[in-house]
Amino acid sequence: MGKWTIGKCVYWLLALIFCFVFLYPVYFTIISSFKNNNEIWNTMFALPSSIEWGNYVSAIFDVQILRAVLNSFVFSAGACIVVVIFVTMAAYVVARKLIRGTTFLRLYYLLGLMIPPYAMLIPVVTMFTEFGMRDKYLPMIFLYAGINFPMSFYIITGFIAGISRELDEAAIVDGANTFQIVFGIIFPIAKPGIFTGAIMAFLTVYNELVFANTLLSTKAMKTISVRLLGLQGERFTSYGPMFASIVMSIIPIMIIYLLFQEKIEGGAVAGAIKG
Amino acid sequence: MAGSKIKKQKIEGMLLSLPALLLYSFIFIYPLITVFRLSLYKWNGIPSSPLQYVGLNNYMALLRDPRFLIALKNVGIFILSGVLLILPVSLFLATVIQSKSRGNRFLRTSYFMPQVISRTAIALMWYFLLYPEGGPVSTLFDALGLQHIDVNFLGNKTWAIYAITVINAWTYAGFNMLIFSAGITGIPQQVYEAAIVDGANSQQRLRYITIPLLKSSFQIFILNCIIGSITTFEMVYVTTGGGPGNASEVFGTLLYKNAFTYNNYGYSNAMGVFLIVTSFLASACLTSLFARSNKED
Repeated sequence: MGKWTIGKCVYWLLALIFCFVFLYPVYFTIISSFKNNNEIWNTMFALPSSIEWGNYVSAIFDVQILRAVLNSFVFSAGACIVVVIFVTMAAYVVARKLIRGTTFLRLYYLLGLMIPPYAMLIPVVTMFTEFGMRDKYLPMIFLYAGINFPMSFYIITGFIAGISRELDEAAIVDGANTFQIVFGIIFPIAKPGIFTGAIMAFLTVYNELVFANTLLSTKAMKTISVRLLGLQGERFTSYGPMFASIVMSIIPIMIIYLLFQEKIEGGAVAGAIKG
Repeated sequence: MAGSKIKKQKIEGMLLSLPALLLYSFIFIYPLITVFRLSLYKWNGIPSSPLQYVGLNNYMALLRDPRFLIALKNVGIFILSGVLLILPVSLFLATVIQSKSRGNRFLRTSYFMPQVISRTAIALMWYFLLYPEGGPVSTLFDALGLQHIDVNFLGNKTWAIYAITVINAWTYAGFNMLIFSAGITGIPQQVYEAAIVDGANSQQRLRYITIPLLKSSFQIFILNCIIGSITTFEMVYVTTGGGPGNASEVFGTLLYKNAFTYNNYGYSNAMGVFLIVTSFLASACLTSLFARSNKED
């Protein structure tokens, strides 16, 4: 480790201060979620004197946060499945130039990376209203799949292009058709890349706000972002349930992050380098 | 025989492309074209009410809107905060997680974690942290003898936008840390070993090796910073909604509010076009600028 100079001490002190800065808001939220209303304020670190489970009961039954978590999961998982199937098929065709115009298709799909999706908010909302697709699971799932398509396509094509063509050719000689090649050969080999694309889409949809906020208006359909946003305006007699709602909405995504940390961090970097 | 096989492959290729092509065109490209078209019309958002062709009037209204200038200034503040706050912090954090010390994984996880939390949850957390009556920041300020400072920064016309940039930095520092960390991983270890043999200390190694060799990481950072600042929306919407008054307005909040609060859909669509064109041009210009500068090396 070498000797400890003053510079080195300052450096590591700073590293720990940043660690505190990033963790403290989460710590405060968690301890407050177990406190009664009198204990939350005027303290930075104090643990609750007795654990107030009532906050969580209220978060589940009054705020209906579990319903919102479930909705977010349905949208995320649904969009992931659609994206994975559609992107893998499209990416294989583009990577192998199976049809004419794949160069154009590639640019056409990647154009979406340069456009902020919410700029198209109004036409999308109008379209959803016209066709009666608001407050429904399937249309939202396809909307989210479409919004996440360019990024997933970008991440997954790279992986598929790297797979040796010899495998395809051997399968063609054995009489496999293109569908069998995509789902029987390419899919298993490209799984790490596909999984990275899928989990990035999952994270984006789970936390998405703008489209959910404008297209989901019934309480039973609301996602965590919409539900938490609504809490700011609602009058509560105590703050504990709000903290408990925050905790319950971020626990699932924290677990997913800790389970797939390397994939998520790798996917974030891959997505950033799209220039 | 071979001909029919290729033909069969082509048909299968088209069938495989079709779902993605339809989905993407319907969800992305059709609305994209519609935004451009509708930006030339005046409309109150009610499906039955007619569209009124107004040419470029929506764009004129946009440019004459004093709130547009506020948004422009705030986007500038966002870009500056990226360079002055997120850049040094994330570069520092990248060197920390690259040092392979004990507890490295814990530090890395805690730095990146805000990135996976929903922006609304983040806004709510910070709303409580900055709670004026006994919130933790207010408690901290009291302890430091700064009672006279009102910690309700998000509700303050002057400070709201700066408070948002700090929350934004808190959220994105870990993400940018990974960009720099990936860049540092790409620097061959031998370069550092040679420098140590030549007697370079850690500051000199940072100044003369790490930073110059991180050029492409800096480029990625700048690109993301500028595009991210132009298109920033959620962070502002969930914390202040553009307020108080119009103090923390950005392009995204103007687009949203003009449609769903003021029923001025033409203005919103013009703002949508402005956002699409600006972010497209910015990324095209920066990419070609970087490509040219990299060729000169």
